Amino acid sequence: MGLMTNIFQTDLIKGLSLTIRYFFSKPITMRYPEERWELPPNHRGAQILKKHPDGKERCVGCGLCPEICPSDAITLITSENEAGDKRVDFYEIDLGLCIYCGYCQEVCPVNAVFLGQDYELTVTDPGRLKVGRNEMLQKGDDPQYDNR
Amino acid sequence: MKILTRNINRPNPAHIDSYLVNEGYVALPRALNDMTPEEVIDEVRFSRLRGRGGAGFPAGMKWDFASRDTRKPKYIICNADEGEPGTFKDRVLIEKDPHAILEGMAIAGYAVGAEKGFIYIRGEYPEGARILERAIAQAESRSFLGKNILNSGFDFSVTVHRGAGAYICGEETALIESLEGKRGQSRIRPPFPVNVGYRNHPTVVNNVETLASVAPIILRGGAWYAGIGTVECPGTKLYSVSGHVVRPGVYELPMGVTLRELIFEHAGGMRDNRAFKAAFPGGASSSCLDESELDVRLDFNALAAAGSMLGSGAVMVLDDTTDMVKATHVLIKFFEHESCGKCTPCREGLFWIRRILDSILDGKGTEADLDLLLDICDGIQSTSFCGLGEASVNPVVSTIKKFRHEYMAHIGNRVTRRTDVEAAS
Amino acid sequence: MMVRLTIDDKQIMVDAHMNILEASKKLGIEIPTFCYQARLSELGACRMCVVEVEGMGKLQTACTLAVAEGMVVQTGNARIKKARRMMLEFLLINHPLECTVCDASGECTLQDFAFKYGSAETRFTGEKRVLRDQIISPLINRNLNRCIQCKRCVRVCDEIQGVTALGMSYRGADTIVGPFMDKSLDCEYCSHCIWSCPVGAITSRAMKYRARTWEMDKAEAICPFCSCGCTLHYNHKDNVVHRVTHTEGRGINQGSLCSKGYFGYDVINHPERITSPMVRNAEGVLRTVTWEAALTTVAGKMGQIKDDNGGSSIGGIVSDRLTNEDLYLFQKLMRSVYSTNNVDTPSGMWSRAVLPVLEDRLGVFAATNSTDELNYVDALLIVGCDVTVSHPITGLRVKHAIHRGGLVTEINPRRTALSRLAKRSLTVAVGKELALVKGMIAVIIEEGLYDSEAVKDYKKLSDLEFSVKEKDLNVIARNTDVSVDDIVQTAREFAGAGKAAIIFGETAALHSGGDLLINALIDLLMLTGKLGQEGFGLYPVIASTNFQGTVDMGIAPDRLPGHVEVSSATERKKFEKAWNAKVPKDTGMNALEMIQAAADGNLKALYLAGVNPLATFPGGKVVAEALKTVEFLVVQELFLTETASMADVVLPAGTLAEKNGTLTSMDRRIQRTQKAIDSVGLSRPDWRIFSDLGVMGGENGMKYVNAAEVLDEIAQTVPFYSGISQHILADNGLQWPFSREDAREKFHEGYLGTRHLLMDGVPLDKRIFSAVSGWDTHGADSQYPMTLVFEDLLFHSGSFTRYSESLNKLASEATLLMNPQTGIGLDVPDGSTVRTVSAQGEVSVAVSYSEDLALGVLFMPRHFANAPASALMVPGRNRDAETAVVRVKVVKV
Repeated sequence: MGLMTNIFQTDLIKGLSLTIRYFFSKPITMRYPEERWELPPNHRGAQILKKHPDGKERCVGCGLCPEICPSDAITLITSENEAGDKRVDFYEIDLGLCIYCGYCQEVCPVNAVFLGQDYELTVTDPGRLKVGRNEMLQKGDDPQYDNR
Repeated sequence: MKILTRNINRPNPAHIDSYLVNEGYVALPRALNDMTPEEVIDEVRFSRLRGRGGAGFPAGMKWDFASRDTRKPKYIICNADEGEPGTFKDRVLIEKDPHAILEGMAIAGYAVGAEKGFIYIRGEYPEGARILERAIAQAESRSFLGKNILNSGFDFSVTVHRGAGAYICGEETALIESLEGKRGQSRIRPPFPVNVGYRNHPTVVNNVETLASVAPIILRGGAWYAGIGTVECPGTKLYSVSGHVVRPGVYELPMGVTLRELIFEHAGGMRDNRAFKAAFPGGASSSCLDESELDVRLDFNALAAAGSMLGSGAVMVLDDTTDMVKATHVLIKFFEHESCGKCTPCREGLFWIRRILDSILDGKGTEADLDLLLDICDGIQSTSFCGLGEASVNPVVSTIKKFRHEYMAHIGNRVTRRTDVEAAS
Repeated sequence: MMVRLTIDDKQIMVDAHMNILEASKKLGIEIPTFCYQARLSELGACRMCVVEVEGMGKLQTACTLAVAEGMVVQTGNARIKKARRMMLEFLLINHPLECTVCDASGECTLQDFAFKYGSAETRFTGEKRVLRDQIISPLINRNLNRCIQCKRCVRVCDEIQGVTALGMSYRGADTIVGPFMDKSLDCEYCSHCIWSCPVGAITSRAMKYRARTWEMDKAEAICPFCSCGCTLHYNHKDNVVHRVTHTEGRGINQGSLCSKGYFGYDVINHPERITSPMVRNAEGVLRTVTWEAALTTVAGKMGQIKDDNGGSSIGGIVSDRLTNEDLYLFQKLMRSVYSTNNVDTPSGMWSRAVLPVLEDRLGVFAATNSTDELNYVDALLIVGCDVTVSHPITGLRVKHAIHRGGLVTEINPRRTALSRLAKRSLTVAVGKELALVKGMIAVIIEEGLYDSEAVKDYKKLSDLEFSVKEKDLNVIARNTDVSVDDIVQTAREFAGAGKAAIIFGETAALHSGGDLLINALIDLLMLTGKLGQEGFGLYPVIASTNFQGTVDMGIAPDRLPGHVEVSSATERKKFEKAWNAKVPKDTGMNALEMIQAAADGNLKALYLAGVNPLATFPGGKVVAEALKTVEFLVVQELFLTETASMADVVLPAGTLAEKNGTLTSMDRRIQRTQKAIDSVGLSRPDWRIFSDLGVMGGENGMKYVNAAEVLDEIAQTVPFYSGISQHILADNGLQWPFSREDAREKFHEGYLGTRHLLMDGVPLDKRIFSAVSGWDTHGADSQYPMTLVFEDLLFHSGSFTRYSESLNKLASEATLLMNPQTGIGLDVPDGSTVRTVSAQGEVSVAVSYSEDLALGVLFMPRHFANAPASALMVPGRNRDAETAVVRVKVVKV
């Protein structure tokens, strides 16, 4: 049996056939960064902030997302503005702490914060992991989030 | 039978001389000289006189409670805050026979041991207030009021206080609050004003008509009075008839007259010979009666049995040209405006009812709104603080019950004009 | 009388006066309510608490219905549930659903009940009513749309605070709550309305939108602003105190606070706080250094001065706002390390004026009774102070007594907020109070109203009688500008009252003849037998937060902790043994003497802990001179005050929010205060700085790990603090004296210690009337014809609150109050600036006319920078100082 196998190199043929089969099939890896994943719509990436159609921020500074955040990644500072309304002075999410659980999106009563599609979060300076309000608002302006 | 209105057709009826001609101020000296306070109270109790302000509480019993309270001083308050829409009976007495009221107050004061009386008159009766003040001055000058009345050793003075235009101040505890200079809102009961009233002292609050009935009772005896009218509700009653009748006005009739008799025999029948549609027998806050109920007797018990109430005896008659939804809307607007705002159901509930009626009249209503209305009404009725809230929803509940089709006509958005209502009904 | 009733099938016996709501609470059954609050009158307006009572057709409100024998109550059946759901639906018709931003969210009763009892959907579809909103005050925010008209704010303002600044206007659904004519709020900013609001209709603007209720942690502390000793909770988030709350029924204050307590917290995280130690360098500039360097500098320099010039050339003045632990360690540092008895506190001036009289006459050195007993007094005499301003919560007790029918008579150089409520207010010029009190005594003796049983064994009654009868009542009345009838009535009311007490304050005690007046007041109490029982007694009141603590902790040049005399060798020995160090035997210098000595160059080093003599000490010029001359000046402070900027070393200290410790209130209640936030910047708690300096000074006995250790030492060395610990003080405070065993065993049962002193009456050897002679304790001065009274302000206490932005919005500048009659000759219009000149100096300040003042009397707050009292107060004129009043003349500019 062993002799026959040795003579006809059947194992080699078996192996090669696999190689050949895969050689002609569709590759499953992709050539990042030229190629990108098609993300599911509910992908939980870095947060974005949405505005109202009139350009006003949706966020009212209610403080529920920092409260519910299990890893204390969200910092919010608010105060009273000249008109006597609530003003968000500072809003920041530390993506280094964020576990992308989506609670902030879930708890938001005014649909202001969403987990976005952005997953390329590697930075060289850890300080850059802290994403501020303006950056998140900018991301939210992306047309891909129009339906949110 | 003219007891309360016996003097109103005399020349210059408000003057003390006109009053004195017809046995005026005879009952007061009789009470002061020949009777003890207990006997006065007993006489009123025998007469079974029931309060004419709306609740129909026996006057003698009220006086008895107040007289048993040992704390001094005590007060008599005449409730002349006649604010119920459709009611104008007290005005007749105030303007035409003020001395009858004053004599009644003095007798009440003697009976319960009060030396001070107030007449809380509604702000919209400036002429009435002037007449009363003149009458008080006249009575004082003849020693029917003031210190040591008719040398009997009994002091009793009366002050007229004008209200500031709030319907709620017709409710006795709100009236007392207002008289004390506070916001006119009802107080918690118990304790009742007979024990804790004006400035937390025993206070008897009686309607104008009740007090005006006192002198004749003392003069002719309680038994005589008890023989008039029905057994449970003796005496005569002033009915203020308004609305679509030929001769609106105040009618003094023995208690227990039927609605049909009042409208068709006394008030001259329906205007323009139109058909009778409904009547509110006790002012804006009573449930309406329809034509099947024309033979209901207009007294406290019979009307209560019919699901309505006598109230102040303000009979508002509506003929077949009336849109009951609009009529209800008008009444609710009144109550919404007059709700004092103290308790939640009345303040917010009437606001809500009015908004629903608004939308029904705008043709935006749905049938579910009617159930919602009844639910709100039930909520208000079962939890409101005072009678205002409790009674204010009566027109809504009764009209939905009896004229649901008119609401449905609006809801169907088929009708907004009067002729259409007729067609629908 | 007790009655038995059934609530939800459970039987309970309760007092017949109780309402169903309270009875249910006892059974653990919650009945929701908006408008009911135990301290307020019943309203029955919200209709939320409806219950079904067997035999009563209509639903009944549990808050207004008293229990009755055999009553059967249902609190949660379907009918009630429906009614509650309906009521919430009604309330939510017009209530804006802005919980996301509303500051009350999380603590909102409407929110809670809507969750618990409400329906998830609304059937109301129309537009909500939107009411015009108007800012009614700089500190209190009103949002009418959120209001549910429960009237709690209106009632609390009227019934507890007695201010009636809020009322209801309009009718029905248009009802709004607000100030009269909806103008701006004119009130005491007591915060009761904020506290009582069940929704977010009335909120604090000081914290508006800064933090959500659930984000903040709470720490229980004692209010740092006066000696009432109120319990409050610092609410903090991210090491910043965002607000102060109080709990119904908790502490001396039972859930009340005043403007200072509620709004004054912003001093804690003030941006100008000193955050690191500073040492003056060779160029004469204050430079930031490490703690190590700063402490080394202090320890080294102090040691050197002590070695060169002796301990008596070192002096220390410590603030009366600090905790007992701070105070104890300060004097221990001074005495055992720096070998000096030059230890004092600014309120030492008060102690030296008042305590000797109290000790001499009664054998006590504190208020005789508890402040909460004032709630139930039948007659009260308030002499020379406005207790509603200096001690607002004690003032509430007085208001409560008035509410109950107590007869309060005020004898003061001006009418106060209390005058409107009090039975009578006698406006008497400074110095004339004595005549009035003697007049009262005369009436009491004349009419035989005195307590003959009590005065039986008193000596010198005839002397007293003789002394008060020198002058006819009519003459007294004319001299004091008070009617004879008022004097007679006050005397009769006081003598005839079941419970009667006397409060006196700084104006009464801190003027030249104040001791005579206090003696006369004690005579009055002795004569009428109003000592030694609940509701009786004498209350000396001074605003300084821990004034009693300074007395107890030996912050005095002649007293050691426990109020024992330094001159006593046995007492010294006791402390020497405990401290394992020598205690100097000579009496030291008091604060004013220290300042003088420093100015003269005799005092080389001065340690000021939390004291700002440049602003508050008498004799402004001398103080400036002293601070300049003194060789080494250490200032331990929160802010770089006038004084701190002259220091050689500045040490940053912590506020009460940043440390653990105990404070002793004016009625001897020792209470625990807890740390809320970590020290701001590099600052350190005061006790720790003292401890570190002690250790560096070579005294290992000064080493403490925490404040609790210091308290343990106090418990061992101060006899009447014996047995206490932070653990024991956790629930309630303890009023000294108490036995060690009681303190240890009964603390969890709510044991409060000794409620009032003199339980056995006045000590036998002190049963003597003083029969003071003289009628005018102030006299006249032709050169300075007017008397300026330094007043306490409702919105400020001491220079500390000057840093509170919130409080500065209410008052930030001194004005000179003057009766227009007094100012006639002056001929200046209201609001114009005048020069006020005393023998010491002068200030220029705007004049404001008020009819409330007695003739010839002026009022001015003492702590504002634009008119420092220091510039006018004359040091050492008669006794220590006239620190409450000063003779002045007013000159037109």
